[in-house]
Formats: sequence, C-alpha cells, structure tokens
Amino acid sequence: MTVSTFAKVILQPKQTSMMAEAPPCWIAGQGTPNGDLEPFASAQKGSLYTQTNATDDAPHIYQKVDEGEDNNDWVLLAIPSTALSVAHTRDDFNIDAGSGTTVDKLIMVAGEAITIIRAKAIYTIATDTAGAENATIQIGTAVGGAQIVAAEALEAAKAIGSATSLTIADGSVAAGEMVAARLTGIAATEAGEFFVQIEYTVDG
Amino acid sequence: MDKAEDFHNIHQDETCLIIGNGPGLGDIPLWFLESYPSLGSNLIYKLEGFKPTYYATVDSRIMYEYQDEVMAAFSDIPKFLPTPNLDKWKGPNIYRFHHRPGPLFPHPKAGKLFPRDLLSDEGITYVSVTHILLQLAYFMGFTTMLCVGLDNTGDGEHFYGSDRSRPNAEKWDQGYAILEEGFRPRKIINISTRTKCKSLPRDNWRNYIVTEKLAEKA
Repeated sequence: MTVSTFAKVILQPKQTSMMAEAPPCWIAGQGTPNGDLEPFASAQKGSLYTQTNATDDAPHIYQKVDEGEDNNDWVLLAIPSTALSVAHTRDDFNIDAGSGTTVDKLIMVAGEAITIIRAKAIYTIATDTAGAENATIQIGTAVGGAQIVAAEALEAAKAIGSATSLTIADGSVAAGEMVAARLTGIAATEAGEFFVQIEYTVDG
Repeated sequence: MDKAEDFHNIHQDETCLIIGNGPGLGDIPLWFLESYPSLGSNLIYKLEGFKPTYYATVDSRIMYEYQDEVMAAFSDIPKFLPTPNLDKWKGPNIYRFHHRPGPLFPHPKAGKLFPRDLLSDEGITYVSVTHILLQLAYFMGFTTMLCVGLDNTGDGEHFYGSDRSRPNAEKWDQGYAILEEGFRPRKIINISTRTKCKSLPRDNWRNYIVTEKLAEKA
C-alpha cells in the first residue's frame, strides 16, 4: 500500500485550560500514514488514523507513537493473526521401543492451513550418555510421513526438561491434514522418554 | 557427611586424579593412583586392588546391570548419583545431585565459585560421566585435576575390555574444552598415556609422582 496522498482531520478536540498540550486528533484517508506531511506531522502523539482503503479483513487503524516526523511514527494497532500456537503428542515416546521398531503418534489435525515454525523433542525421562542418538524422530502430514521434519537423531545425556530442536524441512500443513510423529526406536534397556511439541501460526 | 553440601570445598587447593576407564588406565601403576584423592566412575570397580576416594555414575544402564557389583565393592565410599535419573538406586553413602537441563557450564569465565547448595539446588549437567567427575572435583575445591585413562576413544574400548556403548567422543571433547576454559585459573591436565582427547593440556604422569609414594613402593 502506498503512503497517504489524501488525508483529512475528521475530529480535532479543542485544547482547554485543563490540558497541558494539544489533544490527539483523529485522521482519515487513503494509503499508509505519511509521517512528514500534514496533517500527520503536527498531529499530537496518541492521535489515530483510519485508513479507508486497507485490504479487506486486514487491520486499518494506526496510532502515532513518536514525533520523529517520519512514517515510523505511526504503528498499525491491530496485530495480524501470526500469534504462535502450540500442539504436542498426547503421551510420551519411549526411546527403547525395540531396534528399528516404529511408533506413531498423532499431534493434531489442522482445522485451517497452518505453518509449523518450530518442532522439538522434549525429554520427560533422562537419556543415558550413549545410546539415544541411535533412535530417530520424524514428522509428516501422514502416518510415517517425513516432509515436515526428516528423520533426525535424538540425543544422549539429556536431562528431564531439556529438548532436541528439530529442523523444519517444510512447515506447510493444509486445512484438514494431520500432523503425525514417528519414532524409530532402539533396543530395550536404553533410558529416555520424550514428547514432540510443535509451534505454528495459522495462515491467512 | 550427611548431605552433598558437606563436600563443598573440603579439598581446597589440593590435587586430585580424575580416573577415566579407557584402555590406557592399565598403563598407570596402582601406587600412582593411590597417590592422590581420586574420583572414579562406572565400572572402575573392575580395576582389582583399587578403590577411588569418590565414585559417580549417571547411566541407568549401570544401575540396572551393575548396581550390585558397585555396591559390593564401594559400599563405604561416597557415591554421587543424579536425581531423578537414578533415584531407584538405594544404599549407604549415596549423595544425589540434580541433573540440570541446559548448557554444560553456564558460569561466567571470571572464576565464579560453585555455591554450597549447587548439587541439590541448581544442579549440574554433563555429556559424559567424566564431566561430572570434573565438576564434583571443582565443587570440592580441588585446584589441579589430573586425568588418567581419559582416552576418549569412542569405540567402546575400556581397560577391562569392550562394551556395547558407542559414545559421541567429539561431543565429549567439546565438553572438556568448555570445562577447561570455565575452570581457569584452576587446571585440568590430561596425563593419560594414549589419549585421543584433543581439548585438554597434556603432560606425562611421571611428572606428578609423589616421592613418598615412590619410596613406599620401593
């Protein structure tokens, strides 16, 4: 969106004797705020600007938060829906499920298209100083899938509460798709349990 | 000693031996191992005729497979175990330290001393059990830590033969480097005879012979 070429003050309260300085005003116009032009430049901090031609369903109210007479004086008040959400497997994987044995657990089914930002294996039972690194975890959009996180080794000597960060290969998940994790285990008598946690944003 | 805290700085300004279980331990005579207070780990009880001053182990594998042997050999010496990992291991002279998640040695390089309640409160962490031995030695106040049998082979070879463990020797070495730097001005010196450890300063064990012990041997 281009910066404003047409903007007008639609509400300018009068300063009274009770006010130490001019009160904030309300401006309306097209485009994003142009901080070094009037009426934006002399508007008091705290003033609002309503952009009348913002994209449908997008936020369209700005507030003046600085007096540097530039575009950065104005910030968009509403935050786009990029807040992180968290999901995880409902119960823990046991690392020593058996050599080469696979165990699958569902994390979620996406109601809307999402993008996975981070994925971790979080340990609930500590691992020994050797052994756990022979087990792997992978994440995909089908049982046994690996397109989100390719098979990655777990780690030895991890304390309870510590995590192995997993590399996201492709974080895109379409609406209605599942997110599933697969452990490929190691032989019995190796200590260690963990769950898989993902952090994601809702697209659009 | 009643609690782990009671070991805080009890060896101030002393030298100790950190005993690894690599094949090179067999090159070191027992009388030398008995020259200093020592910290041993895991299956060190297999070294006949020797008992370290302190013992530590961290793996559940040791608890499930060798607990009885360790307790039979070392019932009378202090044994340090991580909690909650090895809470099922019971017996006399057991002291527990909290297994902390996070980086190996987060303390500032300015030589911050370990607090008295470190083991039970903040806790310590490790990649290998030898990292625990070194941090226990630091906690006890030792200023020079001489490492023997610290071969870091990563191939499962030990002084008593081979076992199924295949540790990540590179990560172990990275840990030694972190501790060596973090402990300064205290010293960690690797006096092992055939080590693959690259991160620690080296020296010859014969340079640390205690004359009286040598005379006793003679």
